[in-house]
Amino acid sequence: MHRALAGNGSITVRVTSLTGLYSSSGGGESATGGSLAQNPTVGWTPDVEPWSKAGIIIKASTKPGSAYAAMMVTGSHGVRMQWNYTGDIAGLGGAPTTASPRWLRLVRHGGTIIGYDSADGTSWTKVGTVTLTGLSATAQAGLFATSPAHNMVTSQSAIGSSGTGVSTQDTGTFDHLSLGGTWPGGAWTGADVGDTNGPSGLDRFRRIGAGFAVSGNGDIAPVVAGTMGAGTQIEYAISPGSFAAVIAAGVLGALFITAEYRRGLIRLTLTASPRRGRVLAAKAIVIGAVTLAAGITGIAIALPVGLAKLRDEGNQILPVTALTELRVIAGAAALIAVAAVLALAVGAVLRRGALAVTVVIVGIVVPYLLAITALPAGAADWVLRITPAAAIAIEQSVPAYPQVTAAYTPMYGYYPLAPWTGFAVLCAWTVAALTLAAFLLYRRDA
Amino acid sequence: MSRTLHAEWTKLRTAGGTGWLRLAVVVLTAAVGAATAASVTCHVAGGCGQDPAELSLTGVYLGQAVVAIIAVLAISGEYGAEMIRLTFAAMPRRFSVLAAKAAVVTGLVLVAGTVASAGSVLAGQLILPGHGLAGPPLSLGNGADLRAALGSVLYLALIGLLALGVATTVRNSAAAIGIVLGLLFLFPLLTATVSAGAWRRHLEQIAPMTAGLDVQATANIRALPLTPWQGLGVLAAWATGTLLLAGLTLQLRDA
Repeated sequence: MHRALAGNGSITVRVTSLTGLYSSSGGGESATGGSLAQNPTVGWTPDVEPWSKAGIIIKASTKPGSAYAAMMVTGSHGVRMQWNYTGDIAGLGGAPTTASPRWLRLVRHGGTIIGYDSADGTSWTKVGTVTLTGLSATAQAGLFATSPAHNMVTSQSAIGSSGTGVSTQDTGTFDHLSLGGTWPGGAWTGADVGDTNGPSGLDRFRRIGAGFAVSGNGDIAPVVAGTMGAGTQIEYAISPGSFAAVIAAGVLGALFITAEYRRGLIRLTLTASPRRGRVLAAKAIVIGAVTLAAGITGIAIALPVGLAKLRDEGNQILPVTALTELRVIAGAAALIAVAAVLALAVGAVLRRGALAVTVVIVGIVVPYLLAITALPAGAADWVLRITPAAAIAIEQSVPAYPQVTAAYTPMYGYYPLAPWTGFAVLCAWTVAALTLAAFLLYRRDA
Repeated sequence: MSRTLHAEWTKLRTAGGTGWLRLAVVVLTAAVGAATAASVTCHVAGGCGQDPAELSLTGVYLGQAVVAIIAVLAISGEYGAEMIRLTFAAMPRRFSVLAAKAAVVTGLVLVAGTVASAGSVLAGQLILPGHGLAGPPLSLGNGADLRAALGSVLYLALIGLLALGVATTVRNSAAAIGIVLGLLFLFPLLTATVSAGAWRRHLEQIAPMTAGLDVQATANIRALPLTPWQGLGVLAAWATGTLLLAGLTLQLRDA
């Protein structure tokens, strides 16, 4: 429920409870919110989604996507101040009850909005100050309630994921709603903002004595990828191609040394330059530089082509900064180059081309493939922490938002390690393999 | 033909590393299967839709890479050492040589694959109970589970034939293994990024690994783009195709 309010002012409310319902009917394979709406009223069980939210909001307009700042109570994350989809600051902990209610207040000064919370309505604590751009003189202010689909990734298999999305809804109970500053009293309007997929017969906005009960579902949050999200990350445009390049680079890197062993050329090489470690280092630099240059060229061309194709197919591409896009391109190319150096090192250790190529592919491609298809989610995370495949994290372009409920699993492009940490894991494996190769090169006859 | 077979069997048996590679097929397949089974959890009453047979046989993903090495080395080892000229001088019927190689590789993989598959199922039977999976326990007395276990053995044998065909055509061992593993692993990675349902289904139907591994499915079979045996048939078609190409290039090219 909301109303238009001009100029500066404040809105204050007391929240005495936040209750919720889970749809017990669940969803089918990769259920989306839309398909759940088809059985609206059967089987709801009482439970509050941890990121259910109810509170007060000041928003540029009632259109989805417009700027906002809000103070809210949540299912199990205490009081929060959130703004413009990705901003999130924690306030008081604990859930609201009649005995221990939560007071929320938003104050507008021009484009600046300050959020306060309180346990008693007299001593107030400032939670945060945010500046919203695009907030006109007349903004919408009011009470809101949202409850995201509860996401359970139950299993993954080679035929796809059977993540179950359970539709949820919540109801916040409010009283002591008051307006301050230049904002006058008046009538409130109830409205659904954005797509809704809850029970159609639900009273979304009811008066209870001097208070209100507001119910809702969905979320006020950034678009994310995954079963509950609608977005596609930019790295999807290059992912299969970059793995094909990793395999090709592995073959090149391995052949760069094993071909010398097969033809006996290695004896000539080591006679001409007897410092064997230097030979290995020179080979690593040459194969790394060549594959890096080829990788950057290939990916810089493939990314825009792939993105255009994804857009044509009707995918919504999640926006990223230019710096992130640069990191994805350079990182994917570096992954290809380091894979070639790893293959070189393994080839120097094993001296057999087929074995070296297999080791590199089984180290980088197979763990990733297993993580996004056959492995249970917990095991998939571990595999992508310790194997060389951890480097795929360098291609992750959007962060996981702790305050947004979604399936943050490798299958949907969210990896357990930070981009550069994951890449460092591959580099550590490569350095270890190079060290072993140098050691064996000195120890063994050529 | 029996002398050709005997010659090929002697070469495969005595080639350096074959024994280790056979052991690796068994150990890797069973170990990865056991680790996957151990990592499964389900806390939802009524199960989470997991497939016990498929989970226990996850190790086939890795085992097939070792099978591919065995098959690739069976032919490209000869090209690398240029022994292939001696082979064709002694046995001029090149198609027979290829058939004999295919037969001995298949025999070897069937034996190693049977041990690997049986080991994986045994590990699954020991580990999976108590992990909250619904449905009857994994048992080879159950028709679907038996089909998954036997199908995995046949799957590995077909991967061996596919790899032999590619390696005979390409000759270089590193390039051959790159092409074989690329064929197997890149299709599912491509499928994962295709959102259009019809395209995705077609890719899953023609991909040698994705279609071939349908033979392991015992739960949710109706959701598969192919029936389990049809899926294995797709892989058989790939193996036949690459072997025919290999036979053709053997006849047309100088050794």
